[in-house]
Amino acid sequence: MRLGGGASFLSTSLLKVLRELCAAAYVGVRIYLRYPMWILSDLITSPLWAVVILLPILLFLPPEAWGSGVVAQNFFWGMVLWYVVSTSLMGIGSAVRSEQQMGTLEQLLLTNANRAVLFTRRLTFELFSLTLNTAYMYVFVQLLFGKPITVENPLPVLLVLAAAMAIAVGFGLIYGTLILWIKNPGALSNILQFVIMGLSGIFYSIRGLPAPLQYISYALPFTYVADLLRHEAMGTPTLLPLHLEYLLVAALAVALNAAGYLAILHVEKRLKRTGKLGVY
Amino acid sequence: MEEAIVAEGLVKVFYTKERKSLFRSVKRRVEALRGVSFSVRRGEIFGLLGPNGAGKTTTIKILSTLLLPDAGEAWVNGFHVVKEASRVRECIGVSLYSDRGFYWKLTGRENLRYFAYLYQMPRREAEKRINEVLKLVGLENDADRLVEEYSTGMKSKLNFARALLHDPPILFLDEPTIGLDPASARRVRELILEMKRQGKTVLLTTHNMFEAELLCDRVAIINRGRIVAINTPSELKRRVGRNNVVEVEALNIPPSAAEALSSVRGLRRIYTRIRDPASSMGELRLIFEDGVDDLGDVLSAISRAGMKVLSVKIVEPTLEDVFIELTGEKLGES
Repeated sequence: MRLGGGASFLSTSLLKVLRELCAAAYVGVRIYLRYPMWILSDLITSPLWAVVILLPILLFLPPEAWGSGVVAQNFFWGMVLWYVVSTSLMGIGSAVRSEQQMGTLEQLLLTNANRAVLFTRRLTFELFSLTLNTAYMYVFVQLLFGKPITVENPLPVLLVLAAAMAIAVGFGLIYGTLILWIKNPGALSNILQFVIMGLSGIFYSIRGLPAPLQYISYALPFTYVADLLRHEAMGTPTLLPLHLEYLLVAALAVALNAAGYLAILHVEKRLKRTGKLGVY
Repeated sequence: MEEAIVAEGLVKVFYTKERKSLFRSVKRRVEALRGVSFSVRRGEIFGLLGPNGAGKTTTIKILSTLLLPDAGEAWVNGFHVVKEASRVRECIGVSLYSDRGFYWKLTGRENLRYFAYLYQMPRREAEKRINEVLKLVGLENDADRLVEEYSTGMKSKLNFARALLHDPPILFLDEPTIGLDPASARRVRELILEMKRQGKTVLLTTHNMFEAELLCDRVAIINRGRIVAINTPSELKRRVGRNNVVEVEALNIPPSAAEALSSVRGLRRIYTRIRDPASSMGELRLIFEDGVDDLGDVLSAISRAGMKVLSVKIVEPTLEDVFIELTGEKLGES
């Protein structure tokens, strides 16, 4: 019988990781489908979130801007990115918490499966939610503003969204590691989501933020993703030269995933030393 | 290598926080293991017998790579548990004591399938093996029910099945029958014996002396993080000696029964087990130095203490007698 290889990221073959990813996805989907309320909740809460976020934005805009195509475009792409950020925090952070609460964490760590993959099982249905929400938003924004959502460069938009997802997964792994360590994050997930959304200029360019806050924005990975997405979808100017921004986004995707993976291994070792691995 | 498991001087210290007030807590040092050493031969059932908090689960968790020792070393199947942890995980099956540890919204079969894939078992082989282990533990008819509908016994069997899934040569079983009804406990014990027949090495923890005597080829008695004796159950019992244990069933056993009987000649230890607190009915277990010279002497001392004798038996020593002999504590006391 062929058993799992080493737990080291470098020695883990791509095929092995893919198999584990499929297994995690299978479990994620099965569990999702057995909670009908989750599906219903996804269907109901998506337009509600849009209203919650849109209302304050519209209140700060002059009434003549309400029917503007630029506002509609900004809002649509902002919502898409917001869902991406939410997918990373909720998808991975919640998965870690749920393994702790169900007592499956120790059992999972008795296998040699890739530690990062183990916490991505909820990503499958979070991706489903992301697709559903994007479709929702597409219809919702067009109905509300009466303006069509256009995409200037469809292929680069897809590329940026893929990079956004990769960055979100890396970011989620780091956040998941935090959950693994501190156990109960309380309201951190929600607050973090709003702070990131505000400081990364997901709904508007960070050039509109006060100067001190802009420094923080430049340090956040989602700032460049939002900027690139707006550029490719709406033709807005970028913060950095285009090729540099693409390079930065690619580097951030790799660095955040590597950092997330190493952080998980570090915290796993630490918890094995303190004996808090099974504590929830 | 004849030894499947070797532990040398394992030490583990935990730090817990004791809350003194809302904002004040005091760090407390708990020495869970204080130099635990033992070895387990291939194909044997080895028991770690001790009360709660003795260090049994900590030992199993270190050996199964879920905990890192503070000092000492251990090898499982020839692999170092810290330096070669992934190799160790390949050759062990672990059943930890818990009624959690499963995905409740998945069926028993789906749970096993997920773990089979994480163990990198090819699909067909996984399905075949899942059916085998489900049949072995007697869950084949309930395999497609959600785990949330399982009883404690069924979850325990599923836990056992998961430990066997990738057909590991070494099994770690933490309190495998705790919380089970007698029939389920019997079935699990049969399974453990079946594993031995298949040539697997089993390390189990228990605080059930009957289970240890029934299953184990050798037993390590562990108390307060130290191993106090290792031997076969019969050799361990020989320490107490045959014809040295008298069991008296009595009524009105006072809390000071041990003091009241301390004058009995040759009596080495005495302990009581109250079965009915209302009538103070229970058993006195008397361990003598070198056989019982005069039962009359014992009975009159019992009567003088106000107890009413229901029966008197000279009995074979149990592992609990051995534990008391070695530690001066009862198995449930530490």
